[in-house]
Amino acid sequence: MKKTVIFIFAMFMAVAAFAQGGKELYNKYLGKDGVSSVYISPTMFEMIKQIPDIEIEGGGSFNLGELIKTFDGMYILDIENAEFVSEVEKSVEAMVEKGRYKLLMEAVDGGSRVHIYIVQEGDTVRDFLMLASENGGGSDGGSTAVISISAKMAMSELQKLLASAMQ
Amino acid sequence: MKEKDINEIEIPNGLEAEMSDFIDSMDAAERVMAEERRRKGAVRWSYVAGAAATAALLLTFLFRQPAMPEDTFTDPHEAYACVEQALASISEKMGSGVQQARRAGDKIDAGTAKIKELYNRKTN
Repeated sequence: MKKTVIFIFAMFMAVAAFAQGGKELYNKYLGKDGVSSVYISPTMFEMIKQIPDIEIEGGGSFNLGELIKTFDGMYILDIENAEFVSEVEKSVEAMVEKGRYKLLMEAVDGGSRVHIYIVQEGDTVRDFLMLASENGGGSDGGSTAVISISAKMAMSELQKLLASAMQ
Repeated sequence: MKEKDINEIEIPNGLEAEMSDFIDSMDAAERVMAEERRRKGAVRWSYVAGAAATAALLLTFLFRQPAMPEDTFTDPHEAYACVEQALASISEKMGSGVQQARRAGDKIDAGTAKIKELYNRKTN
């Protein structure tokens, strides 16, 4: 019986850990020293979707309005505290190791590093997470920006964003 | 064996007392076993209650709603401008990655061209 209880406990803990994402990161670092944060709730996204000129305001050849309509929530963290920079990078690594997030892109150029991860369900991107670090981040200072988007975004929309970035 | 013969069998002294003691000990053993079964049943129920309490605790932990952060913007236009900015930043970072990939591609093309040139020189 004791083994069963331990097994159930382990299963629950695994599920709880698996469910971690941008929201948990945001809640963890919100209000800390050297951390700027922005949160846009699902309710606010509902209001954004009702802005009449959302279709007109587009990003160059790519209409951001259509993409934004698929968003449910957005969490942005700008971290300039060396201790937290290192910590947040480790947290993201841990999240990725759990297998929910897939690496979409990694770019390292001198002191700047960009990692983009997604959570994909079939042809839909449910979560998008970008971790951009400057000057190596971690031990020698620097800064890290985390942008996490909860969405029901078709993979083709993300491909369009990537295509627009290539132009 | 006839009834007469049975009655003629000699019963050892003290057998009756031994039989009585044996029956008493069997009865006592049965009562002990019944008590043990009852006790085990009670322990099982306590396990079930413990497991249920643990499950309830874990469910509470798992499905607890973490405190929702407060919206940074109250105006949807401002929020939209921020989202646009964030997407522009994502696009820029993606673009830098793509540029790096292009640069790497150019270098690979240059290397491949060099190999082709060497190969052509050797075959001609």
